[in-house]
Amino acid sequence: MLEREYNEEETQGHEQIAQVRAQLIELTHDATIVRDASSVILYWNRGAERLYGWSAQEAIGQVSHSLLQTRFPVNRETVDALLATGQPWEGELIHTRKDGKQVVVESRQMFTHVTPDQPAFILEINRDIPERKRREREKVEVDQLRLAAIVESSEDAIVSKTLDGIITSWNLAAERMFGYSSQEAVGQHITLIIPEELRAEEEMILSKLRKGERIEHFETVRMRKDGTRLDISLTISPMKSSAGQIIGASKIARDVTANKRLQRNLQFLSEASKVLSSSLDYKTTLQTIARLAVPHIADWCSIRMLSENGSLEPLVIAHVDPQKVQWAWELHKKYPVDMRAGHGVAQVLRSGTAEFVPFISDEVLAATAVDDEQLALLRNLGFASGMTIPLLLEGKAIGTLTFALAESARRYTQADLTMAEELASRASLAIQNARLYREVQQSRDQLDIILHGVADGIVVYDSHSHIIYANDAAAQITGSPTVQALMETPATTTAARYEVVDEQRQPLPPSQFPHRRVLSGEPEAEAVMGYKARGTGQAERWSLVKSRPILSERGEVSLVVTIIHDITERVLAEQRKDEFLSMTSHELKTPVTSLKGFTNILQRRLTKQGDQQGLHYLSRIDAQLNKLTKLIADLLDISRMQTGVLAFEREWFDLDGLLDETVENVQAATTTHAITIEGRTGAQILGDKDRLGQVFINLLTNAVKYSPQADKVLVHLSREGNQALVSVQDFGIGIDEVYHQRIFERFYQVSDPEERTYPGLGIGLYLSKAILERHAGSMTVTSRKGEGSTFAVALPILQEEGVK
Amino acid sequence: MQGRRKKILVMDDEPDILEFLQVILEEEGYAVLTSDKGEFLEQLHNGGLPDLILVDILLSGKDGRAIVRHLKRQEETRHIPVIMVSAHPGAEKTAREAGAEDFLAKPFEIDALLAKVANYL
Repeated sequence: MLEREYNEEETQGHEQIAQVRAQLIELTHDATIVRDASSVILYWNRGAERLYGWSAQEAIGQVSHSLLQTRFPVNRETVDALLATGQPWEGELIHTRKDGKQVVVESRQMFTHVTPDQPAFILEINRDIPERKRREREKVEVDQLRLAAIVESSEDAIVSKTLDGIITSWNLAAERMFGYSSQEAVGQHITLIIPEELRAEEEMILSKLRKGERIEHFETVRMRKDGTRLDISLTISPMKSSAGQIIGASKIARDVTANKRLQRNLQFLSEASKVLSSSLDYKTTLQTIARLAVPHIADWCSIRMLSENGSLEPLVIAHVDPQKVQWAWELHKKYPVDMRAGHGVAQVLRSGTAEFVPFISDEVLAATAVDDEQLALLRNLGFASGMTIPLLLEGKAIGTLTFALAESARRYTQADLTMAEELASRASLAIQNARLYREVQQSRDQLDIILHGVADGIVVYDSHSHIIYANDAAAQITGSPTVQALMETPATTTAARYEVVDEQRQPLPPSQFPHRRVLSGEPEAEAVMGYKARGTGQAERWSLVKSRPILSERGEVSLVVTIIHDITERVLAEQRKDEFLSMTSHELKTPVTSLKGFTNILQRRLTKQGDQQGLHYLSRIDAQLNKLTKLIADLLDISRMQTGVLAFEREWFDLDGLLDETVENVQAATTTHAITIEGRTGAQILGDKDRLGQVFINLLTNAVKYSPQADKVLVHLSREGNQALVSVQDFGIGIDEVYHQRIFERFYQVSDPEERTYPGLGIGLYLSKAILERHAGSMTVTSRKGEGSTFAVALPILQEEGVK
Repeated sequence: MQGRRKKILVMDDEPDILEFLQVILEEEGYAVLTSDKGEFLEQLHNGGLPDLILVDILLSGKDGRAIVRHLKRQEETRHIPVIMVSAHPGAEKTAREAGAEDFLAKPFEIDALLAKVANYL
């Protein structure tokens, strides 16, 4: 029929070519079949006759897949659908021959039109697969069977589906995992196991598969037949037909619920740790943790703490449903923890070890309940799995942490217990930290109360001289309205606001304040400071201020602690005393002046009368009056030194010259001792020449006075570095070492039962020492009882150009 | 006696001091006027101007230095030398600032006083 149409329409030349082609087709070994769109055989060559056993006459007009009982790899429609698109199809088909034997052929098919307006027909060339190839195929089939066996025995669910999502295979693991049998699942749509909210995910998977992409380790959630969910990891590969066409997908699903749980536990542990370290209020943090635990870690979480009276009180009970929480509290009130119970929280608390009940049976519930009502309640709650872990503090249980599963139908595993124990140990640590902190805080509070209670002002400075702590007394003494005000006042403001003076009422620069001296390296500093707020008319106040450093590990001054002892009262009392002394000494001088005057008149009269005896008595009176005058003068000097009104001259003078002069004067008044000067200082001194002269007179007259048995006094002059040294040595009774410090004290004199009293020693030495100190000098004594004394004076030699 | 006796005005609020000074100074040949209240102007007009004034710094109710300043401001008294005395040795500076020619701390040696007086007369 084909040839005939050809013949009619084509030219003679074409006809001949067509005949040759037809003969070629007839001669080929391959079965060549032409069929129309409804598979009715139109042409059947000799190759087809040989392969299938049917002659062309028998075959033509038959429906090809019926005649050959064709078995398609997928189905006929799929092949036809593809051919309809104009693409060739290649694949293997199984045909049944006339003799009933099956033959596997490689088939190549193509849809074609002779002209567009004529009906389409299909060209099909089938080639027998030789025996060798057939054996290979059988082997492949065996392999496939083996593969199928493996698939069946796999732990992972292996499911295949078409691109439309219809399940085509379902292994044993899938049956176990999802709860559907193979029979129930195959033929169903895959959405069978996809939760409602994840349906969109399947669309994404299918679209990837259609593009030939593979999906690996895709973590998602699937649904079991009983409606519970499970976490799975999916690996999905496109399935290709032998023609390379994607026809479906194989899906391997792994149950990762355990993994997921572990991951969730770790995440919870990490979040809980963050909460625990976030605050020192452990009650709040534990409550937060219990709430964090539900519903992912537990359906119920409760934390109980041992109260002071020994009962175990819930700190928190957490559940997603607040109504249930309230109900649980009521339950607790009705059935408080029986501390003697041999199970549950009481037992955990007593033993200090965890209780783990992965599966709570009804027997367990029955053993727990104290009465039928409670049992009914517990049954109603449906506790399925639970664990209680002790919270240990220094080895002693102080509370319990309970996790329980109920409605979610999960069960705790050993891994969950490990997690809970870890959490409990972290919570215990947090509680311990909180308690330690509270103790430290308490002792700090106590210290603070003490510090604020003491009468002395306490101020702590940092290394930049900023106040970092001050107590109430410090604020009060310094006249600040509050501690805060004191701390916030900058040092410069303080300096501007207050007039600060030293003991001698000389202005005290801030660099000389004790804390500043300690900051610049002194190991300890002390000063009497008088201060008065400028322009406020407030009475001045006096303090004894002591500073000590607090050293860092590297030995640097990190803090300075200053103690301000208010001595205003004492200073005022001394001032009154000094004023009294000043006035008294002044008043005393007036009668002495009169006494001296009249003594003098008498002396003149007696001289005229030649009354030697009378004149001798009068000279004794006059000498005593002079001593009295000296005492009064010293008294006045001391009092003025104290009140700071003793004026000092500042002029340059030659120290050696002053000593020559002084020694000469004292020598003139003494006949018993020879005073000798040894050495020279060569020093020019800036200061009050008269006052310093007074010091040396004092030392020389003392030396004479206290060595009545001796006949000499030695004065040594020398220079050591930038210091001029003057020492006055006598060979008298000496001073016991125990008095060495005290002889410089005001009004002190050596007088013990065995010794004679030497009046006047105290005032003179005190005054001398004070004068030397005003010249930045010093005085020391070396002496032994019975071996004489040496008083040594050191005065700094200043560079002239360095003096203002 | 050669010519007129030199006249010394002594002012002190202590009568005993005035008395012994008067005795000694008169023995030394001076004419002595005394005042215990610093009412020197009366004295000046009574017997003419003195040749020297000896005055205590603290007089009852008056400051000796104020008197000295006044005298040193007056043309007719400016030339009269003034020696101030005081039980306050530190007062020498202020006495000299007020205009006193000299200063003597109480209690003093009579010889020292007489030497100073003689120095100005």
